[in-house]
Amino acid sequence: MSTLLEVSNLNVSIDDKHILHDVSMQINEGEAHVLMGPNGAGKSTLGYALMGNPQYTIESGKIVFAGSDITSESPDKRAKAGMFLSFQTPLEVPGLTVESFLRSALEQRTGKRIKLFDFKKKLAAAMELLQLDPSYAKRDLNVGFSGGEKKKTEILQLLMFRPKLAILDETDSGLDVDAVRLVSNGIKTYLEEENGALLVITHSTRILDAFDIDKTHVIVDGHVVADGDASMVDDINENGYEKYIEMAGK
Amino acid sequence: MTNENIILNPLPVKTWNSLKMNEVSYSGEIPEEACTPEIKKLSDELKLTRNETLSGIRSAAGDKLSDLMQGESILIESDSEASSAVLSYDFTGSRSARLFLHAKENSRLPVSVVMTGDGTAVLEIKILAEAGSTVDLSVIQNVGCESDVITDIGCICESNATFNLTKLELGGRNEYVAVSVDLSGEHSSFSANSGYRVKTNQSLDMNYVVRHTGRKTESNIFASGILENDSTKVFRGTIDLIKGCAGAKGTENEDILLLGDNQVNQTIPLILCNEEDVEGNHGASIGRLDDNIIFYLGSRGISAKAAEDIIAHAKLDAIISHIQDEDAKAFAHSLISPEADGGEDA
Repeated sequence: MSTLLEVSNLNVSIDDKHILHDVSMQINEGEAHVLMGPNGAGKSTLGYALMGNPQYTIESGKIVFAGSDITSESPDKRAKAGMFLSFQTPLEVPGLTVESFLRSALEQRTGKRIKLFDFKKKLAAAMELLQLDPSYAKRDLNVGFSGGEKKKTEILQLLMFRPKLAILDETDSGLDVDAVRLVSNGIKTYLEEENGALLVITHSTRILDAFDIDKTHVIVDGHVVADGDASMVDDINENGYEKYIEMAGK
Repeated sequence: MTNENIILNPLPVKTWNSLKMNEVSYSGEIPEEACTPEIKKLSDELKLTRNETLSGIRSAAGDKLSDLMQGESILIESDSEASSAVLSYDFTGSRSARLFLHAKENSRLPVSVVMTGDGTAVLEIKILAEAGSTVDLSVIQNVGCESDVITDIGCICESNATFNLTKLELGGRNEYVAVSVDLSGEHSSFSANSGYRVKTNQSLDMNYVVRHTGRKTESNIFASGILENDSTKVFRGTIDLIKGCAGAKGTENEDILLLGDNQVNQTIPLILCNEEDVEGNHGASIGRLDDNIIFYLGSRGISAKAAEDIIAHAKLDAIISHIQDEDAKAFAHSLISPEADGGEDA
Protein backbone atom coordinates (compact mmCIF):
# COMPACT_ATOMS: atom_id res chain seq x y z
CA MET A 1 0.00 0.00 0.00
CA SER A 2 1.32 3.44 -0.84
CA THR A 3 1.77 6.20 1.69
CA LEU A 4 -1.16 8.59 1.95
CA LEU A 5 -0.13 10.82 4.83
CA GLU A 6 3.35 11.40 6.12
CA VAL A 7 3.84 13.70 9.08
CA SER A 8 7.46 14.44 9.90
CA ASN A 9 8.70 16.10 13.08
CA LEU A 10 5.69 18.35 13.38
CA ASN A 11 5.87 21.12 15.98
CA VAL A 12 2.69 23.11 16.53
CA SER A 13 1.84 26.02 18.78
CA ILE A 14 -1.17 28.14 19.54
CA ASP A 15 -0.87 31.61 21.01
CA ASP A 16 2.87 31.02 21.51
CA LYS A 17 2.19 27.87 23.53
CA HIS A 18 4.04 24.86 22.16
CA ILE A 19 1.51 21.99 21.97
CA LEU A 20 2.85 19.31 19.64
CA HIS A 21 6.47 18.20 19.82
CA ASP A 22 8.16 16.45 16.91
CA VAL A 23 5.12 14.41 15.96
CA SER A 24 5.73 11.91 13.18
CA MET A 25 3.23 9.49 11.69
CA GLN A 26 2.65 7.61 8.47
CA ILE A 27 -0.75 6.44 7.23
CA ASN A 28 -1.04 4.29 4.14
CA GLU A 29 -4.00 4.11 1.81
CA GLY A 30 -6.88 2.12 3.29
CA GLU A 31 -5.39 1.93 6.78
CA ALA A 32 -7.24 2.69 9.99
CA HIS A 33 -5.18 4.38 12.70
CA VAL A 34 -6.18 5.34 16.20
CA LEU A 35 -4.73 8.25 18.12
CA MET A 36 -5.32 7.89 21.83
CA GLY A 37 -4.24 9.83 24.84
CA PRO A 38 -5.45 11.41 28.04
CA ASN A 39 -7.36 14.71 28.07
CA GLY A 40 -5.28 17.67 26.95
CA ALA A 41 -2.61 15.50 25.30
CA GLY A 42 -2.85 17.32 21.97
CA LYS A 43 -5.01 14.87 20.01
CA SER A 44 -7.44 17.45 18.63
CA THR A 45 -4.57 19.86 18.01
CA LEU A 46 -3.04 17.32 15.66
CA GLY A 47 -6.37 16.99 13.85
CA TYR A 48 -6.70 20.74 13.47
CA ALA A 49 -3.07 21.15 12.42
CA LEU A 50 -3.42 18.44 9.77
CA MET A 51 -6.56 20.16 8.44
CA GLY A 52 -4.83 23.57 8.41
CA ASN A 53 -6.70 25.52 11.08
CA PRO A 54 -5.06 28.97 10.87
CA GLN A 55 -5.31 29.37 14.64
CA TYR A 56 -2.55 26.77 14.96
CA THR A 57 0.98 27.67 13.92
CA ILE A 58 3.23 25.06 12.42
CA GLU A 59 6.63 25.97 13.84
CA SER A 60 8.53 23.24 12.01
CA GLY A 61 8.04 19.89 10.38
CA LYS A 62 6.25 18.72 7.28
CA ILE A 63 2.91 17.27 6.23
CA VAL A 64 2.87 15.38 2.96
CA PHE A 65 -0.50 14.17 1.73
CA ALA A 66 -1.04 12.11 -1.41
CA GLY A 67 2.48 12.95 -2.52
CA SER A 68 2.21 16.72 -2.09
CA ASP A 69 3.63 18.91 0.64
CA ILE A 70 0.53 20.56 2.12
CA THR A 71 2.20 22.04 5.21
CA SER A 72 1.35 25.57 4.13
CA GLU A 73 -1.83 24.90 2.18
CA SER A 74 -5.20 26.39 3.13
CA PRO A 75 -7.89 24.10 4.61
CA ASP A 76 -9.95 24.10 1.41
CA LYS A 77 -6.98 22.96 -0.68
CA ARG A 78 -6.32 20.13 1.80
CA ALA A 79 -9.98 19.14 1.61
CA LYS A 80 -9.90 19.20 -2.17
CA ALA A 81 -6.82 16.99 -2.04
CA GLY A 82 -8.93 14.42 -0.16
CA MET A 83 -8.61 15.20 3.54
CA PHE A 84 -11.60 15.44 5.88
CA LEU A 85 -11.95 16.34 9.54
CA SER A 86 -15.03 15.36 11.50
CA PHE A 87 -15.27 18.02 14.20
CA GLN A 88 -15.59 17.21 17.86
CA THR A 89 -17.95 20.18 18.16
CA PRO A 90 -19.47 20.83 14.73
CA LEU A 91 -20.25 24.46 14.01
CA GLU A 92 -23.70 25.90 13.53
CA VAL A 93 -24.10 27.89 10.33
CA PRO A 94 -27.37 29.85 10.38
CA GLY A 95 -28.89 30.58 7.00
CA LEU A 96 -27.16 27.72 5.19
CA THR A 97 -29.23 24.58 4.80
CA VAL A 98 -27.62 21.15 5.01
CA GLU A 99 -28.65 20.40 1.43
CA SER A 100 -27.36 23.66 0.03
CA PHE A 101 -24.10 23.34 1.98
CA LEU A 102 -23.44 19.79 0.80
CA ARG A 103 -24.14 20.64 -2.81
CA SER A 104 -21.98 23.77 -2.72
CA ALA A 105 -19.15 21.88 -1.04
CA LEU A 106 -19.33 19.04 -3.57
CA GLU A 107 -19.25 21.52 -6.43
CA GLN A 108 -16.33 23.36 -4.87
CA ARG A 109 -14.44 20.11 -4.29
CA THR A 110 -14.95 18.81 -7.80
CA GLY A 111 -15.06 22.13 -9.66
CA LYS A 112 -18.11 20.82 -11.50
CA ARG A 113 -21.84 21.39 -11.34
CA ILE A 114 -23.59 18.52 -9.60
CA LYS A 115 -26.79 17.25 -11.16
CA LEU A 116 -29.64 17.82 -8.73
CA PHE A 117 -31.22 14.42 -9.28
CA ASP A 118 -27.98 12.54 -8.65
CA PHE A 119 -27.23 14.66 -5.62
CA LYS A 120 -30.65 14.15 -4.04
CA LYS A 121 -30.47 10.41 -4.60
CA LYS A 122 -27.05 10.17 -2.99
CA LEU A 123 -28.13 12.39 -0.10
CA ALA A 124 -31.30 10.41 0.55
CA ALA A 125 -29.34 7.13 0.66
CA ALA A 126 -26.76 8.53 3.08
CA MET A 127 -29.43 10.02 5.34
CA GLU A 128 -31.30 6.74 5.39
CA LEU A 129 -28.17 4.86 6.38
CA LEU A 130 -27.68 7.23 9.32
CA GLN A 131 -31.41 7.29 10.10
CA LEU A 132 -31.45 11.06 9.76
CA ASP A 133 -34.92 12.38 9.02
CA PRO A 134 -35.04 13.76 5.44
CA SER A 135 -36.38 17.05 6.82
CA TYR A 136 -32.89 17.75 8.20
CA ALA A 137 -31.71 18.42 4.65
CA LYS A 138 -33.80 21.59 4.63
CA ARG A 139 -32.66 22.76 8.04
CA ASP A 140 -29.85 25.19 8.70
CA LEU A 141 -26.56 23.38 9.15
CA ASN A 142 -26.32 22.11 12.73
CA VAL A 143 -28.61 24.86 14.01
CA GLY A 144 -30.78 23.45 16.77
CA PHE A 145 -29.41 19.94 16.20
CA SER A 146 -28.79 17.70 19.21
CA GLY A 147 -25.22 16.56 19.89
CA GLY A 148 -25.98 13.21 18.26
CA GLU A 149 -27.57 14.80 15.21
CA LYS A 150 -24.54 17.01 14.74
CA LYS A 151 -22.22 14.00 14.83
CA LYS A 152 -24.43 12.15 12.39
CA THR A 153 -24.33 15.17 10.11
CA GLU A 154 -20.53 15.03 10.21
CA ILE A 155 -20.64 11.40 9.08
CA LEU A 156 -23.23 12.36 6.47
CA GLN A 157 -20.61 14.71 5.05
CA LEU A 158 -18.04 11.90 5.14
CA LEU A 159 -20.39 9.75 3.07
CA MET A 160 -21.13 12.52 0.61
CA PHE A 161 -17.55 13.77 0.15
CA ARG A 162 -15.79 10.37 0.16
CA PRO A 163 -12.33 11.69 1.11
CA LYS A 164 -9.09 9.72 0.91
CA LEU A 165 -8.45 10.29 4.60
CA ALA A 166 -10.98 10.97 7.32
CA ILE A 167 -9.81 12.34 10.64
CA LEU A 168 -12.55 11.62 13.17
CA ASP A 169 -12.16 13.78 16.26
CA GLU A 170 -14.06 12.26 19.19
CA THR A 171 -16.90 11.33 16.87
CA ASP A 172 -18.40 8.95 19.43
CA SER A 173 -18.33 11.32 22.38
CA GLY A 174 -21.74 12.23 23.71
CA LEU A 175 -23.49 9.56 21.64
CA ASP A 176 -25.83 6.91 23.02
CA VAL A 177 -25.38 3.26 22.06
CA ASP A 178 -27.79 3.43 19.11
CA ALA A 179 -26.19 6.56 17.73
CA VAL A 180 -22.71 5.01 18.00
CA ARG A 181 -24.00 2.02 16.02
CA LEU A 182 -25.42 4.24 13.27
CA VAL A 183 -22.32 6.40 13.07
CA SER A 184 -20.16 3.27 13.01
CA ASN A 185 -22.25 1.92 10.13
CA GLY A 186 -21.59 5.14 8.24
CA ILE A 187 -17.85 4.85 8.82
CA LYS A 188 -17.85 1.17 7.80
CA THR A 189 -19.69 2.02 4.60
CA TYR A 190 -17.12 4.69 3.83
CA LEU A 191 -14.25 2.27 4.44
CA GLU A 192 -15.79 -0.49 2.35
CA GLU A 193 -16.95 1.60 -0.59
CA GLU A 194 -14.11 4.08 -0.75
CA ASN A 195 -11.17 2.07 0.61
CA GLY A 196 -10.62 5.22 2.65
CA ALA A 197 -8.07 5.73 5.39
CA LEU A 198 -8.94 6.73 8.93
CA LEU A 199 -7.30 8.55 11.77
CA VAL A 200 -9.62 8.12 14.71
CA ILE A 201 -8.95 10.49 17.58
CA THR A 202 -10.53 9.18 20.73
CA HIS A 203 -10.08 8.41 24.37
CA SER A 204 -13.00 6.03 24.32
CA THR A 205 -13.03 2.78 22.38
CA ARG A 206 -16.70 2.17 21.61
CA ILE A 207 -16.42 3.31 18.03
CA LEU A 208 -13.39 1.09 17.42
CA ASP A 209 -15.49 -2.07 17.61
CA ALA A 210 -16.89 -1.33 14.18
CA PHE A 211 -13.72 -1.82 12.13
CA ASP A 212 -10.23 -3.29 12.22
CA ILE A 213 -7.43 -1.16 13.54
CA ASP A 214 -4.11 -1.25 11.72
CA LYS A 215 -2.09 0.99 14.00
CA THR A 216 -2.42 2.73 17.32
CA HIS A 217 -0.56 5.84 18.46
CA VAL A 218 -0.52 7.20 21.97
CA ILE A 219 0.11 10.87 22.55
CA VAL A 220 0.90 12.38 25.91
CA ASP A 221 1.67 16.01 26.54
CA GLY A 222 2.14 16.67 22.84
CA HIS A 223 4.59 13.80 22.30
CA VAL A 224 3.76 10.58 20.48
CA VAL A 225 5.15 8.18 23.07
CA ALA A 226 4.15 4.84 21.57
CA ASP A 227 3.09 3.29 18.28
CA GLY A 228 1.76 -0.23 17.97
CA ASP A 229 -0.95 -2.48 16.67
CA ALA A 230 -4.58 -2.91 17.67
CA SER A 231 -3.63 -4.72 20.88
CA MET A 232 -2.52 -1.39 22.36
CA VAL A 233 -6.17 -0.36 22.49
CA ASP A 234 -6.97 -3.36 24.69
CA ASP A 235 -3.96 -2.60 26.85
CA ILE A 236 -5.12 0.97 27.37
CA ASN A 237 -8.63 -0.21 28.13
CA GLU A 238 -7.26 -2.51 30.79
CA ASN A 239 -4.45 -0.49 32.28
CA GLY A 240 -5.10 3.13 31.38
CA TYR A 241 -2.47 5.65 30.33
CA GLU A 242 -0.21 5.43 33.37
CA LYS A 243 2.73 3.75 31.71
CA TYR A 244 2.48 6.04 28.71
CA ILE A 245 2.52 9.07 30.96
CA GLU A 246 5.66 7.68 32.53
CA MET A 247 7.15 7.25 29.05
CA ALA A 248 6.54 10.95 28.51
CA GLY A 249 8.75 11.55 31.54
CA LYS A 250 6.08 12.92 33.80
CA MET B 1 -37.46 65.83 -15.88
CA THR B 2 -37.21 67.43 -12.44
CA ASN B 3 -33.89 68.41 -10.98
CA GLU B 4 -33.92 69.74 -7.47
CA ASN B 5 -32.68 68.96 -4.04
CA ILE B 6 -35.40 67.15 -2.13
CA ILE B 7 -35.58 65.58 1.29
CA LEU B 8 -36.30 61.85 1.35
CA ASN B 9 -36.89 59.28 4.09
CA PRO B 10 -37.42 61.61 7.07
CA LEU B 11 -37.56 60.06 10.53
CA PRO B 12 -40.98 60.69 12.12
CA VAL B 13 -39.19 62.04 15.19
CA LYS B 14 -35.85 63.71 14.79
CA THR B 15 -32.72 62.48 16.48
CA TRP B 16 -29.41 64.33 16.88
CA ASN B 17 -28.50 66.18 13.72
CA SER B 18 -24.87 65.23 14.19
CA LEU B 19 -25.77 61.62 13.38
CA LYS B 20 -26.93 62.75 9.94
CA MET B 21 -29.71 60.19 9.98
CA ASN B 22 -32.81 62.36 10.25
CA GLU B 23 -33.35 62.28 6.51
CA VAL B 24 -31.39 62.12 3.29
CA SER B 25 -31.00 64.77 0.65
CA TYR B 26 -31.58 63.69 -2.94
CA SER B 27 -30.22 65.87 -5.71
CA GLY B 28 -30.98 63.65 -8.67
CA GLU B 29 -33.88 63.73 -11.04
CA ILE B 30 -37.50 62.68 -10.68
CA PRO B 31 -38.19 61.58 -14.26
CA GLU B 32 -41.33 62.84 -15.92
CA GLU B 33 -41.44 60.13 -18.52
CA ALA B 34 -43.80 57.35 -17.55
CA CYS B 35 -42.74 53.74 -17.27
CA THR B 36 -45.40 51.36 -18.48
CA PRO B 37 -45.00 47.88 -17.07
CA GLU B 38 -45.07 44.71 -19.04
CA ILE B 39 -47.81 42.59 -17.55
CA LYS B 40 -46.15 39.21 -17.32
CA LYS B 41 -49.01 37.59 -15.48
CA LEU B 42 -52.46 38.68 -14.42
CA SER B 43 -54.88 36.13 -13.12
CA ASP B 44 -58.50 36.37 -14.27
CA GLU B 45 -59.79 37.43 -10.88
CA LEU B 46 -57.82 40.67 -11.06
CA LYS B 47 -58.96 43.88 -12.66
CA LEU B 48 -56.47 46.32 -14.11
CA THR B 49 -57.36 49.95 -14.87
CA ARG B 50 -55.78 53.40 -15.10
CA ASN B 51 -56.72 55.09 -11.87
CA GLU B 52 -55.22 57.30 -9.15
CA THR B 53 -57.78 56.91 -6.40
CA LEU B 54 -55.27 55.66 -3.83
CA SER B 55 -52.66 58.35 -4.39
CA GLY B 56 -53.44 59.99 -1.03
CA ILE B 57 -52.11 57.09 1.03
CA ARG B 58 -49.33 58.19 3.30
CA SER B 59 -45.70 57.84 2.28
CA ALA B 60 -42.49 57.47 4.26
CA ALA B 61 -40.44 59.01 1.48
CA GLY B 62 -41.45 62.56 2.36
CA ASP B 63 -44.16 64.87 1.04
CA LYS B 64 -42.07 66.38 -1.70
CA LEU B 65 -41.70 63.16 -3.65
CA SER B 66 -45.46 62.60 -3.86
CA ASP B 67 -45.89 66.14 -5.20
CA LEU B 68 -43.40 65.49 -7.95
CA MET B 69 -44.62 62.07 -9.01
CA GLN B 70 -45.97 62.05 -12.53
CA GLY B 71 -45.67 58.52 -13.80
CA GLU B 72 -48.42 56.47 -15.31
CA SER B 73 -50.88 55.10 -12.76
CA ILE B 74 -52.11 51.55 -12.81
CA LEU B 75 -54.66 50.15 -10.43
CA ILE B 76 -55.00 46.43 -9.76
CA GLU B 77 -58.07 45.38 -7.83
CA SER B 78 -58.95 42.07 -6.30
CA ASP B 79 -62.30 41.05 -4.87
CA SER B 80 -61.62 37.33 -4.48
CA GLU B 81 -58.79 34.82 -4.04
CA ALA B 82 -56.51 35.93 -6.87
CA SER B 83 -53.62 33.69 -7.83
CA SER B 84 -50.97 36.07 -9.09
CA ALA B 85 -49.91 39.22 -10.90
CA VAL B 86 -46.38 39.84 -12.13
CA LEU B 87 -45.38 43.23 -13.52
CA SER B 88 -42.02 44.05 -15.02
CA TYR B 89 -40.84 47.65 -15.18
CA ASP B 90 -37.93 48.61 -17.43
CA PHE B 91 -36.74 52.04 -16.36
CA THR B 92 -34.20 52.44 -19.16
CA GLY B 93 -33.88 56.10 -20.09
CA SER B 94 -35.03 57.29 -16.64
CA ARG B 95 -38.71 56.85 -15.87
CA SER B 96 -41.31 57.00 -13.12
CA ALA B 97 -44.25 54.76 -12.42
CA ARG B 98 -47.15 54.56 -10.02
CA LEU B 99 -48.91 51.37 -9.04
CA PHE B 100 -52.01 51.15 -6.89
CA LEU B 101 -53.19 47.92 -5.34
CA HIS B 102 -56.66 47.55 -3.91
CA ALA B 103 -57.60 44.37 -2.07
CA LYS B 104 -61.31 44.43 -1.38
CA GLU B 105 -62.93 42.81 1.65
CA ASN B 106 -61.76 39.27 2.32
CA SER B 107 -59.87 39.09 -0.96
CA ARG B 108 -56.31 38.14 -1.70
CA LEU B 109 -53.96 40.14 -3.89
CA PRO B 110 -50.52 38.63 -4.65
CA VAL B 111 -48.34 40.91 -6.77
CA SER B 112 -44.72 40.62 -7.81
CA VAL B 113 -42.93 43.61 -9.26
CA VAL B 114 -39.61 43.41 -11.09
CA MET B 115 -37.57 46.58 -11.61
CA THR B 116 -34.83 46.56 -14.27
CA GLY B 117 -33.18 48.86 -16.82
CA ASP B 118 -30.57 51.60 -16.78
CA GLY B 119 -31.57 55.07 -15.74
CA THR B 120 -33.17 56.78 -12.80
CA ALA B 121 -36.05 54.67 -11.56
CA VAL B 122 -38.86 55.97 -9.37
CA LEU B 123 -41.67 53.65 -8.40
CA GLU B 124 -44.52 54.54 -6.12
CA ILE B 125 -46.80 51.77 -4.85
CA LYS B 126 -49.87 52.59 -2.77
CA ILE B 127 -51.99 49.86 -1.25
CA LEU B 128 -55.36 49.62 0.39
CA ALA B 129 -56.03 46.34 2.17
CA GLU B 130 -59.69 46.27 3.12
CA ALA B 131 -61.05 44.28 6.04
CA GLY B 132 -60.01 40.63 6.06
CA SER B 133 -57.89 40.92 2.91
CA THR B 134 -54.30 39.87 2.31
CA VAL B 135 -51.81 41.64 0.08
CA ASP B 136 -48.57 39.83 -0.75
CA LEU B 137 -46.20 42.19 -2.51
CA SER B 138 -42.74 41.24 -3.72
CA VAL B 139 -40.48 43.87 -5.23
CA ILE B 140 -37.30 42.68 -6.93
CA GLN B 141 -35.06 45.63 -7.68
CA ASN B 142 -32.24 45.00 -10.13
CA VAL B 143 -31.87 48.35 -11.86
CA GLY B 144 -28.45 49.13 -13.40
CA CYS B 145 -25.61 49.78 -11.02
CA GLU B 146 -25.14 53.40 -12.16
CA SER B 147 -28.75 54.39 -11.55
CA ASP B 148 -30.58 56.21 -8.80
CA VAL B 149 -33.55 54.21 -7.58
CA ILE B 150 -36.44 55.34 -5.40
CA THR B 151 -39.13 52.96 -4.23
CA ASP B 152 -41.94 54.45 -2.20
CA ILE B 153 -44.50 52.06 -0.73
CA GLY B 154 -47.49 53.12 1.34
CA CYS B 155 -50.22 50.88 2.74
CA ILE B 156 -53.34 51.08 4.86
CA CYS B 157 -54.55 47.89 6.52
CA GLU B 158 -58.14 47.76 7.73
CA SER B 159 -59.35 45.29 10.36
CA ASN B 160 -57.95 41.77 10.05
CA ALA B 161 -56.07 42.74 6.91
CA THR B 162 -52.54 41.53 6.27
CA PHE B 163 -49.78 43.09 4.24
CA ASN B 164 -46.75 40.92 3.51
CA LEU B 165 -43.86 42.65 1.81
CA THR B 166 -40.78 40.97 0.37
CA LYS B 167 -38.20 43.37 -0.92
CA LEU B 168 -34.98 42.46 -2.67
CA GLU B 169 -32.48 45.25 -3.29
CA LEU B 170 -29.73 44.29 -5.71
CA GLY B 171 -29.11 47.12 -8.14
CA GLY B 172 -28.79 50.86 -8.28
CA ARG B 173 -25.92 53.19 -7.40
CA ASN B 174 -27.93 55.14 -4.85
CA GLU B 175 -31.10 53.50 -3.68
CA TYR B 176 -33.82 54.95 -1.50
CA VAL B 177 -36.56 52.77 -0.06
CA ALA B 178 -39.52 54.15 1.85
CA VAL B 179 -42.20 51.95 3.36
CA SER B 180 -45.11 53.39 5.29
CA VAL B 181 -47.78 51.15 6.80
CA ASP B 182 -50.85 52.22 8.73
CA LEU B 183 -52.25 49.35 10.78
CA SER B 184 -55.50 51.16 11.39
CA GLY B 185 -57.84 48.17 11.71
CA GLU B 186 -58.04 45.86 14.68
CA HIS B 187 -55.96 42.68 14.29
CA SER B 188 -54.34 43.93 11.12
CA SER B 189 -50.73 42.96 10.52
CA PHE B 190 -47.65 43.79 8.51
CA SER B 191 -44.66 41.63 7.80
CA ALA B 192 -41.59 42.78 5.89
CA ASN B 193 -38.66 40.71 4.72
CA SER B 194 -36.03 42.88 3.14
CA GLY B 195 -32.85 41.48 1.63
CA TYR B 196 -30.08 43.56 0.15
CA ARG B 197 -26.62 43.31 -1.28
CA VAL B 198 -24.95 46.71 -1.39
CA LYS B 199 -21.97 46.42 -3.68
CA THR B 200 -18.81 48.49 -3.90
CA ASN B 201 -19.47 52.25 -3.89
CA GLN B 202 -23.24 51.75 -3.79
CA SER B 203 -25.54 53.20 -1.15
CA LEU B 204 -28.88 52.11 0.24
CA ASP B 205 -31.09 54.31 2.39
CA MET B 206 -34.19 52.72 3.93
CA ASN B 207 -37.02 54.19 5.94
CA TYR B 208 -39.67 51.86 7.34
CA VAL B 209 -42.47 53.44 9.35
CA VAL B 210 -45.28 51.38 10.85
CA ARG B 211 -48.09 53.15 12.69
CA HIS B 212 -50.13 50.93 14.99
CA THR B 213 -53.47 52.60 15.59
CA GLY B 214 -55.73 49.52 15.64
CA ARG B 215 -55.98 47.26 18.66
CA LYS B 216 -54.02 43.99 18.67
CA THR B 217 -52.15 44.89 15.53
CA GLU B 218 -48.85 43.27 14.76
CA SER B 219 -45.80 44.22 12.75
CA ASN B 220 -42.59 42.41 12.04
CA ILE B 221 -39.78 43.98 10.05
CA PHE B 222 -36.75 41.90 9.18
CA ALA B 223 -33.90 43.28 7.11
CA SER B 224 -30.99 41.07 6.19
CA GLY B 225 -28.18 42.00 3.91
CA ILE B 226 -24.60 42.22 2.82
CA LEU B 227 -22.38 45.27 2.66
CA GLU B 228 -19.38 45.03 0.36
CA ASN B 229 -16.28 47.25 0.11
CA ASP B 230 -16.89 51.00 0.43
CA SER B 231 -20.67 50.63 0.54
CA THR B 232 -23.05 52.68 2.63
CA LYS B 233 -26.33 51.67 4.20
CA VAL B 234 -28.80 53.46 6.43
CA PHE B 235 -31.74 51.66 7.97
CA ARG B 236 -34.43 53.63 9.77
CA GLY B 237 -37.10 51.49 11.34
CA THR B 238 -39.91 53.17 13.24
CA ILE B 239 -42.62 51.32 15.11
CA ASP B 240 -45.14 53.87 16.33
CA LEU B 241 -47.46 52.47 18.98
CA ILE B 242 -50.19 55.10 19.03
CA LYS B 243 -52.67 55.58 21.87
CA GLY B 244 -55.56 53.17 21.43
CA CYS B 245 -53.55 50.30 19.92
CA ALA B 246 -53.80 48.18 23.06
CA GLY B 247 -52.40 44.68 22.61
CA ALA B 248 -50.24 45.71 19.66
CA LYS B 249 -46.83 44.16 19.05
CA GLY B 250 -44.06 45.50 16.88
CA THR B 251 -40.70 43.92 16.19
CA GLU B 252 -37.81 44.96 14.01
CA ASN B 253 -34.57 43.10 13.44
CA GLU B 254 -31.60 43.61 11.23
CA ASP B 255 -28.80 41.22 10.37
CA ILE B 256 -25.82 42.54 8.43
CA LEU B 257 -22.85 40.69 6.99
CA LEU B 258 -19.77 42.75 6.19
CA LEU B 259 -17.67 41.60 3.27
CA GLY B 260 -14.53 43.62 2.63
CA ASP B 261 -13.64 46.95 4.20
CA ASN B 262 -14.63 50.58 4.59
CA GLN B 263 -18.37 50.07 4.85
CA VAL B 264 -20.57 52.66 6.51
CA ASN B 265 -23.51 51.11 8.30
CA GLN B 266 -26.08 53.11 10.21
CA THR B 267 -29.09 51.59 11.88
CA ILE B 268 -31.66 53.55 13.82
CA PRO B 269 -34.42 51.49 15.37
CA LEU B 270 -37.09 53.79 16.78
CA ILE B 271 -39.93 52.58 18.96
CA LEU B 272 -42.44 55.27 19.84
CA CYS B 273 -44.96 54.38 22.49
CA ASN B 274 -48.05 56.20 23.66
CA GLU B 275 -50.05 53.19 24.87
CA GLU B 276 -49.45 51.00 27.90
CA ASP B 277 -50.47 47.50 26.86
CA VAL B 278 -48.10 47.06 23.95
CA GLU B 279 -44.85 45.35 23.05
CA GLY B 280 -42.01 46.79 21.01
CA ASN B 281 -38.79 44.92 20.25
CA HIS B 282 -35.75 45.62 18.21
CA GLY B 283 -32.42 43.95 17.58
CA ALA B 284 -29.52 44.17 15.22
CA SER B 285 -26.45 42.09 14.55
CA ILE B 286 -23.54 43.10 12.39
CA GLY B 287 -20.27 41.43 11.71
CA ARG B 288 -17.90 39.64 9.45
CA LEU B 289 -18.01 35.96 8.75
CA ASP B 290 -16.68 34.13 11.81
CA ASP B 291 -13.16 32.67 11.42
CA ASN B 292 -14.36 29.36 12.85
CA ILE B 293 -17.07 29.13 10.18
CA ILE B 294 -14.53 29.97 7.48
CA PHE B 295 -12.32 27.13 8.77
CA TYR B 296 -15.24 24.71 9.08
CA LEU B 297 -16.39 25.38 5.53
CA GLY B 298 -12.76 25.39 4.39
CA SER B 299 -12.30 21.92 5.82
CA ARG B 300 -15.08 20.86 3.45
CA GLY B 301 -13.30 22.25 0.41
CA ILE B 302 -14.91 25.68 0.36
CA SER B 303 -12.45 28.59 0.00
CA ALA B 304 -12.79 31.65 2.22
CA LYS B 305 -14.05 33.71 -0.72
CA ALA B 306 -16.55 31.04 -1.70
CA ALA B 307 -17.64 30.69 1.95
CA GLU B 308 -18.45 34.39 2.01
CA ASP B 309 -20.38 34.07 -1.22
CA ILE B 310 -22.27 31.02 0.01
CA ILE B 311 -23.28 32.69 3.26
CA ALA B 312 -24.23 35.89 1.43
CA HIS B 313 -26.22 33.84 -1.06
CA ALA B 314 -27.92 31.98 1.79
CA LYS B 315 -29.00 35.24 3.41
CA LEU B 316 -30.65 36.46 0.22
CA ASP B 317 -32.03 33.02 -0.51
CA ALA B 318 -33.85 33.10 2.82
CA ILE B 319 -35.52 36.36 1.80
CA ILE B 320 -36.35 35.09 -1.69
CA SER B 321 -38.12 32.10 -0.15
CA HIS B 322 -40.88 34.52 0.87
CA ILE B 323 -41.68 35.41 -2.76
CA GLN B 324 -44.85 33.54 -3.61
CA ASP B 325 -44.95 33.60 -7.38
CA GLU B 326 -42.71 30.78 -8.61
CA ASP B 327 -41.63 32.60 -11.78
CA ALA B 328 -40.70 35.72 -9.85
CA LYS B 329 -38.90 33.57 -7.31
CA ALA B 330 -36.94 31.82 -10.06
CA PHE B 331 -36.01 35.19 -11.55
CA ALA B 332 -34.80 36.41 -8.16
CA HIS B 333 -32.74 33.25 -7.75
CA SER B 334 -31.17 33.83 -11.15
CA LEU B 335 -30.07 37.30 -10.04
CA ILE B 336 -28.13 36.01 -7.05
CA SER B 337 -26.69 32.91 -8.70
CA PRO B 338 -22.90 32.62 -8.88
CA GLU B 339 -23.08 33.14 -12.65
CA ALA B 340 -24.91 36.45 -12.15
CA ASP B 341 -22.20 37.44 -9.69
CA GLY B 342 -19.38 36.70 -12.06
CA GLY B 343 -18.64 33.20 -10.79
CA GLU B 344 -17.27 31.76 -7.59
CA ASP B 345 -13.65 31.40 -6.72
CA ALA B 346 -13.15 27.70 -6.66
